[in-house]
Amino acid sequence: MTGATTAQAVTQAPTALECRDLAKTYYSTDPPSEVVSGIDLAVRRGGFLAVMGASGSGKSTLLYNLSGMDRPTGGRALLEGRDLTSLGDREMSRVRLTRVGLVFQQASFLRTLNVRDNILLPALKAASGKRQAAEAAARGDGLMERFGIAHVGRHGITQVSGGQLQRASICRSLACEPSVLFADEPTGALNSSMTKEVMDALTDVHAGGATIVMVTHDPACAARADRVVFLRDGRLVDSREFGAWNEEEAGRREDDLITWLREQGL
Amino acid sequence: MAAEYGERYPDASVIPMREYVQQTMSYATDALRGAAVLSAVFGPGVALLNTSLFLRLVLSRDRGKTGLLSAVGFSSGEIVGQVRLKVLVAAAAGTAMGVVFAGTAGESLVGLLVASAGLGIGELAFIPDPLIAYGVYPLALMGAGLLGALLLTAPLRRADKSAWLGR
Ligand SMILES: Nc1ncnc2c1ncn2[C@@H]1O[C@H](COP(=O)(O)OP(=O)(O)OP(=O)(O)O)[C@@H](O)[C@H]1O
Ligand SMILES: [Mg+2]
Repeated sequence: MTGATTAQAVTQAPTALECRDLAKTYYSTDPPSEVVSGIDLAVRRGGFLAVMGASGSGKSTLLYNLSGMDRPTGGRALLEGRDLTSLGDREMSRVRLTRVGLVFQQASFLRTLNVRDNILLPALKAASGKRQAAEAAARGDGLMERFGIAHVGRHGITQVSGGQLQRASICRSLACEPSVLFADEPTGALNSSMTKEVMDALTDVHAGGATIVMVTHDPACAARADRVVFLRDGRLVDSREFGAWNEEEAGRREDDLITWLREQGL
Repeated sequence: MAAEYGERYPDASVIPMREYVQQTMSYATDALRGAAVLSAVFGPGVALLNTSLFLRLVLSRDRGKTGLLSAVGFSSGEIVGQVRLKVLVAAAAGTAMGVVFAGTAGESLVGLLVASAGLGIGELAFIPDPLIAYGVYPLALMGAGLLGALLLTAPLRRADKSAWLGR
């Protein structure tokens, strides 16, 4: 499949994620601070959206309000057509468990469990009955194999590298087969070789048909996405469309993004 | 009986033993009773304060873990419920230990203190009301601990989950 037809397929696919006039105001500050506002966004199923913007522009806030972590104070956030703002605490946690995968800058794991058990934790929680649990475990093992960390499954979480740990987070976030994978600066704490490991993993996930929303400061990472939006002071001010990712185009795309970011004042 | 003796020995003043103790020792028993009532009232207060401080510490230490668990799909209800259960178990264990201690070493310890205070009391025996000492009061202590946990964890339910991620 060429890049052009993939891009077309993505445009025609049904919407995985959508928000309308989304806003978040923190009332804990005096005066209250409106951190994001007026956000209209739609991500097609199979799309890969990168969110960029200066520090404090509200990227993480937007991500958390789209993913069912936090509650928007205005507008609506829809995941597969379902309005998240209308859900109660338990339904929201169910959405996070089964429909959403989250990856953070600091890979976060329970110290008392080994890598594999950490990866399987949500999948086993979601499983009802022995058969589903066995399926979940098989899926987790398959993911670990795919992302090259099967051999460290029995290791404690302090005995593996940052890159391996972040790939483990990706495995954990995918173990419940979510409809959208959210990543907040997934490579922000990694060196360049680990960054490439993790971005290759995410690109692979995307190529497998997953929908991804990723916050990043790194143009090289954003170049992997098929669409990049720019956030300034909590508002979406510009966006850039690309075709499907391919290795040969990487350098050109990155340069293109760097120029674009400079135009945005970064 | 005292009245009988009183008739037989009109020169002496005869009073029942209980009254005698009351008359001669009232300063000591009253003081002890006062102390007991005072500590009974302050006990649950201290328990509440202790649990709250301890829980505050635990909650801030476990912040990242809480954020992680909610991110992977545990509800605030489940997380808060687990914290409350932990507090209840800790409060129950603490209270049980306290009750056992008071029932065994407590008596001689207080006796020793009283004796060394030079009140002229050599030996002291508690006569606890079993219903209060082993039922109502321990429950009140645990209840105070649990109340502290309820008050401190209630806001967690409404909080934004990302607040625990330490971004
Ligand atoms: N819980 C909160 N209460 C009050 N203000 C907050 C809260 N969380 C974030 N903010 C503020 O909202 C603004 C946007 O924060 P956010 O973390 O979304 O920015 P960001 O674009 O992700 O920045 P960075 O690139 O540094 O991660 C910041 O000014 C921040 O101080
Ligand atoms: Mg951020």
